[in-house]
Amino acid sequence: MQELFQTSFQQGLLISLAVMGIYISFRILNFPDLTCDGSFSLGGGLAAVLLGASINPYLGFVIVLAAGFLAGTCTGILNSRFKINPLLAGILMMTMLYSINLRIMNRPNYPLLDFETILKPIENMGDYTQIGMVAFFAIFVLFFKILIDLFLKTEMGLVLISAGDNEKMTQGLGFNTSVVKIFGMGLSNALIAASGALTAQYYGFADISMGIGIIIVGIAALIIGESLFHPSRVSMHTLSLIFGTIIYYFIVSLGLRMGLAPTDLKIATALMVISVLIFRFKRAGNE
Amino acid sequence: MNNDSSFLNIENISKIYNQGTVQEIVALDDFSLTVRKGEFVSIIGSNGSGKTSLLNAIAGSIMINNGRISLNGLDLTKKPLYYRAAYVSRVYQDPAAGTSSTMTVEQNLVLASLRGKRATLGFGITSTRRQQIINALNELGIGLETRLNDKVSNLSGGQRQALAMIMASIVKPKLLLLDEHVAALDPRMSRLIMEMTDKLVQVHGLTTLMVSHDMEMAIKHGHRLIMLHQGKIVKDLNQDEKARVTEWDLIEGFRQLRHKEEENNH
Repeated sequence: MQELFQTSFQQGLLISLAVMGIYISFRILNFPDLTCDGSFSLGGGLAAVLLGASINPYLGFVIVLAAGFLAGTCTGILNSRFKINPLLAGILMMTMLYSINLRIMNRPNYPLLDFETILKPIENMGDYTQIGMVAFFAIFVLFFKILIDLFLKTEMGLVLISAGDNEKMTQGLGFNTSVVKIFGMGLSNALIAASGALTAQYYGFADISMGIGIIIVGIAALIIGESLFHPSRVSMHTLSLIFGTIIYYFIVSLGLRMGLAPTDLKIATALMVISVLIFRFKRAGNE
Repeated sequence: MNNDSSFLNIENISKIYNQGTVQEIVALDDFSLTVRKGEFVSIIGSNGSGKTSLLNAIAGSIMINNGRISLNGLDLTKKPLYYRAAYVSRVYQDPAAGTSSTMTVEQNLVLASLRGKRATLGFGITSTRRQQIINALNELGIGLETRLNDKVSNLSGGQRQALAMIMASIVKPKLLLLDEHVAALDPRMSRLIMEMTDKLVQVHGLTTLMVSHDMEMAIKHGHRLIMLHQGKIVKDLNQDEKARVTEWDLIEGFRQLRHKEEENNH
């Protein structure tokens, strides 16, 4: 049981960084961004290759953030500048990233076991490794959470929120919403790539398909957090999504233990999201 | 045309939709208008007369086919909406259009106080800004000053429109565009918002264009009344003429226009 808690905390914290990114695109910018499947793999693959080239893991992490940011801005530009439908812009970018990731990794799977990852010092902590991982990820995630909370309180952050909520009004106040949204998409995908990089180092390998379905995991985690904590302020949203992700992984681990086939995980998650959406639809008095 | 007293200069602008097709619509037809600084102009006209197209053209929501628009000597003709927004503010008919519903009253007002500035990485809500906002709200006394931290989605339509009005004027715009801004409100709220409009326009000397469906309101408020028909000005009354005109005169004017139109069609 303790192991179950530990792994769901570890996985949940890792992925909650990506969920924070999905929160920015999906909730704040009202942009259902499918780039994330590609940018998550991009983060994992790029981190692996950089570690393979013996680059300092923290420097590598910063490079991954920049690459994710770039991927997000590309989707943002396709949408804002060239008026390509948000879903299509995301799909196009995700598809392109598949080829780009294969170019970067040069193979579909890249093992990391012998490399000096960010987690190496913790892996050498013996008895304290498991709890050390939880603490390390928690600090890591809280750092980004606080950074995002603070950013969304700045003038730029407020413009980002209003551009997602009422673009016409935001333009009417004199803000170039295209630039704002492109930046927001960059921020979102930087976080998702960061999550991919940590995930690859945690599992000891990067895989070309590691990002598939991450959007559904993200939405599931968002919904769990929102249903349980009913957040209204931004700082509560970011906190509730972290717990939402941990709870999601707890449910998943429990399900796997009770005999759910790992291959059925995606359909189970999607069905969970669908049932919550139907429940909300009915409760909103639409029937 | 370009004399000292002109502030807003609209010279021979045209807006034609679906040009060259059977569905061609001329929304603004070689339209010219000069407005003095501090002037409050009421604009009336039937549906499709070009009222909203005129405001859209000035604000930059639509780009015109021909002509030139300048404000205070600044050529706006080719400038995008967000650029013009530093000088031109607008209140729409729909209260939801002018406010952000998921943000608080205070956050909305902070954004509005950034009009024409570059957003920085400094905190949006500062104690000086909060005081400014409270002062602006106290001045109007509409009860929003106690609801700074409420989400805008919890306000009534009238309160939201009052907020939109304050947001449009908290940074004094060079030009205020009111697009049937009380048409969606109940009579009491509509009167309140009009009182607020007069007060804001008077206190700050705002140059204002107000489009209205309500002829009584158009006569009662403002310094000048313009009637549009088929993308042209058909009546332009100054303050004295406006003081003498009645609702019936205007309705009769519209009737004659329609009559003439029918004769032309035969």
